[in-house]
Amino acid sequence: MMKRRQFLAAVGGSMVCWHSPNLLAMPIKRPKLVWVMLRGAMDSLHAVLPVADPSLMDHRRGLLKTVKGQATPLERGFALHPSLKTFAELYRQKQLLAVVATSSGANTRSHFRAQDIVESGYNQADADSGWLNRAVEAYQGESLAVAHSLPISLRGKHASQTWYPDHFMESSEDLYNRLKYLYDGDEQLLNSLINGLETQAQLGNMANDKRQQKFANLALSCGKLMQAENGPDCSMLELDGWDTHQRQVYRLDKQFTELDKGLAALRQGLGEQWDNTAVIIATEFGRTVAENGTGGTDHGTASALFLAGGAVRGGRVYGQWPGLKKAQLFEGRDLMPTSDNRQWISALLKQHWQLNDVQLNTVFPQISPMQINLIR
Amino acid sequence: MVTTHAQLAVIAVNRFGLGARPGELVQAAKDPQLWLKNQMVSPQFDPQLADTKTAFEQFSAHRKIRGQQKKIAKAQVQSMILEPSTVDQSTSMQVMKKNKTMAGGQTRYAKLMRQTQKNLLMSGLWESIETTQPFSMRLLDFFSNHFSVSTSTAQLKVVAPLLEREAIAPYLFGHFEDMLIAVIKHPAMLMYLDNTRSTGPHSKAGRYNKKRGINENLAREIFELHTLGVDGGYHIGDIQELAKALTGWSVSYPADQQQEGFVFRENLHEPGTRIILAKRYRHEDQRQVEAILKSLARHPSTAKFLSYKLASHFISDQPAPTLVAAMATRWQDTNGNLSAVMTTLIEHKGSWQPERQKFKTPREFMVSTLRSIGLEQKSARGFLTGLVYHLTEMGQAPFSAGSPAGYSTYAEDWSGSDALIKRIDWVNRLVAVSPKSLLSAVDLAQQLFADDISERTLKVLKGAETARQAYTLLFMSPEFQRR
Repeated sequence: MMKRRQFLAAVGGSMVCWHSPNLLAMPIKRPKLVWVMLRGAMDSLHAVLPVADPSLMDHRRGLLKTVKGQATPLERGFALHPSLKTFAELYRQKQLLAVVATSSGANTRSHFRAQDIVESGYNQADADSGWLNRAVEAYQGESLAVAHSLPISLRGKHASQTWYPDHFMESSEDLYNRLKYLYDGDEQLLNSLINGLETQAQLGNMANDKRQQKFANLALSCGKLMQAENGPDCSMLELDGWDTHQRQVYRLDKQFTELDKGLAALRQGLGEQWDNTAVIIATEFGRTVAENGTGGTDHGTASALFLAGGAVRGGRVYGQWPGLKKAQLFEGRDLMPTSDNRQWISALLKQHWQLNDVQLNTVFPQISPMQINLIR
Repeated sequence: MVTTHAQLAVIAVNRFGLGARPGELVQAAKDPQLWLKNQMVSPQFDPQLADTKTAFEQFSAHRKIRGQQKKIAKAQVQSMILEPSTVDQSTSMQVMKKNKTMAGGQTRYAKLMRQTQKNLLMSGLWESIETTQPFSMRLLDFFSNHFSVSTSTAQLKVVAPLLEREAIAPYLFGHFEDMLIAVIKHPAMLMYLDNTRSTGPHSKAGRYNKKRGINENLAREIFELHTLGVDGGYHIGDIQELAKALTGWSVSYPADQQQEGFVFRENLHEPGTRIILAKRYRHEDQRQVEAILKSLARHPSTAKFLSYKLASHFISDQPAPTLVAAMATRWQDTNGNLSAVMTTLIEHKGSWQPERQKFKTPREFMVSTLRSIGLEQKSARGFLTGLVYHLTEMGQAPFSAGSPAGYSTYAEDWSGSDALIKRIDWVNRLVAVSPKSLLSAVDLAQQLFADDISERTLKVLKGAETARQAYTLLFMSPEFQRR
C-alpha cells in the first residue's frame, strides 16, 4: 500500500484517489462491509418461505413440492430453503437475519433499469454515482469490486479498485512504466492502469492458486483480500442467474447452493475479521407470487434482504408481512413491499460505520434509517 | 479545428469500420463517405458452415441417444430390483454392451456439437478480422448484440450463433421490421426467451392441461429491449397482450415433423383479437404477431430508441442530439429503412468530430489489433486458435452476454483496471508469437492513423526497448484503445 501511495504522490494530484490521513492512528480492527448483489431478481418466496401464510400453497403448489417439510424453520412462521445450509447455521448462531417484503425502491419490472437504481441508491438511476461509493467516501475507507469493470455501486468520486482472476501471464515492469508515461494526461487509462497494477501486487500469487471463477472462489479471494493488512473496508460481489422464468425448482436449488457456498467461503477468507463484518445480500426486485405456466415465476415487486456476519445481531426475521391473499398483493400479482432496502442498509451504515444523518442523506437522500438494532 | 481529408479517412476506418487492414486507409482516403456507402450490402458467410438444419439434426441425434440411454439404465435398475434372480450373466452383459455403444454415440454427437459451435464462433471472429466490408460487419455486430442471445443450454450452443447469419445479415440494409420478424421467428430467440412452450389458457392445449400457461419473457424484451425501449410508452397490459399473441410461436424438431426451425402451433395459440398500444389485431394465426411487430418497428419510440443506440454504438457514448434526431426522422420517413438511416449517420457532421469518443470493447480491440497486423486465419497457429477463450477472459465471450440486453458499449464498462491489465497481457502474448517480418511500430502507426497521433505516443514508440515492445505500446496507446 505504501508503494502505491508513494507512486500517487509522485504523479501528483492529477487523480482522485483515496487518502486516509488518519490511517496510522486507526485501530487495527475496522468494521468491514460486503455488498452482494444478486442479479436477475431472486424469488424471495422460494428463499424465505412464509410457511405460516395459508395462501402460500394456493399460489405455488408445484414450486413447493420438493421443499415442503425440509425447510429450516425461522421465527414468525418463516422457513429457509433447505439448500441455504450456511445461512441456517448462521441464523442459529444469531449471525444472520432476513428482512421480508422489502423492495429496492425501483418502480419498474425491468432488470436492467432496476439494477441501476439499486446500485445508484437514488430513486432515479445515476450510472455515475453508486450508494456504496458515497458511503465509503463518507467513511473515508477503501473499496474493492470483484468484477472485470467497476459496477455502478462503486462508481463515483471515491476511487475504487477492481479485481478478477486472470489466466494471462504477467507483463514486465519496464513495460508498465512506459505505459504509465504513455498515459500521462489520459486520466481514464492512467487510473485503470495504476489501480490494476496495485491489485495485482497486493494479491500476489493468490490468483494463481485459485483459477476457477466460481462464486465461492471469488468470495474466498475477496475475503482474503479484505482481511489482509490495510485491506479494503468494503467490497462488492455479484452473482447472476436468478431470472427463473422456467424450471425454477431445479435452478434455484443450484443458485442457492452456489450462494450458500459463497457465503461460507467469504467467512473462511475473512478469518478473524468475520467478527467485524456485515454482509448485505440483496436483489433488484422480487417475482410474481403465483407460479407461471412454465414452472417458474415472472418479474415482481417486493423481495427479501439478508444481513449476515459476525457483527450482525441476527437470528431474527424483520419486516411487516403484507399477506398473500389476492387483495393483499401489489397490482394483484406481486408481494406488496412494506419497507425499502435502503432503510435497512441506512440503519446498518449508521450503526456499523457510525455515519451521521448528514452523511446518510448523501448516501440515500430522504430515506430514514430503520430504528432497529442490527449490529451487535 | 479543421479536419483534413486524411483525418476523415482515419475516422471512417476506425470509428465506422473495425480498424484499418494494411492499405485500407489509403483506399478510404479517396472519398471516406463513399468508401462507407459502397460497403452497404449484406455480408456473405462461409457456406460450408452449419445452419439451423444441421444444428438441429446434431442435437436431435444427441437427444435421441441420451433418451435411449436413460431408458436402458432405468430398465436395468428396475429389473435388478424386481427380480434379481432372473438377471443372469449374459443379459446383464448384453445390457452393459448396449449401454457402452450408446455412450459412444452420445460422445460422438456431443463432440460434433462442440466442434460446430467452435467453428461458428471462430469464423465469426475471423470474418470480422478479414472482411473488406468492416462497416457492414460492425452494423451486424450491433444488431447481433441488440438481439442478444446467450448459449445457455446445450442446444443454444449451436443455434445461438446462427441468429445473426440467418435472421440479421439478410436484412441488414433493408427494413428493420423484416429483421425484427425474422429474429423473433428464429429458433435461437424463441428458445432463449422461453417462448416455445408458452400456452394460451384458452387454447386447445391450455384448456386440456390447466398447468400450462403463458410466459411473458419474450414479449417483455421485445418492448423493452428490441423496439420501443423501457421508456417507450407501453404498459404491462401491452406486454400481456403481445405474450398472448406470441403463444404458438414455437420450434419444430425433426423428431416432431419433417421440418426444422420455426413452427406455428395452433393448439397452443390464445385465440382472439389483441389490443396493443390502442390498436386492434384480428388475425387468428401467425400473421397477428407479424402485424404487431411491424407496427412496433415503425413506432416513433422505436425510431428514437434505435437511432440513439446506433449513434451511441458508432459515434459516442453521448451522441449529439441533432444526430440522433436526424436519424430518428429518417427512420420515420422511411418506415425504418436501415440503409437510409445509416446514410444519415454517415452524412451527418455530428458523426465526424475529430475527438475519439468510443472506448473499444474487448472484441473491437481484439479484431482491430489482428486486422492491423494483416493476419489471416490460415496463418493462425497456437496462441491464435484460442481467441474465443481470450475474449471470454476479457469478459466478452461471444453469445454469452448472459442477459438479453447484450453487452454494454460504454467506456465505463470496459475501461476498468482489471480489463486494462488483461488487454496488456493479451497483446504481450500476441506480439510474442506474431510473425517476425513486421513493419516497425512507427510505420504501422502511420498506416493506422496517418498523422493523427500524438507527439507523446510517437516518442514512446520510437524509444521502445524492442520492436515487440513498441507493438505492445502501440496497441495499448490511447489512440488505439479508442476510436
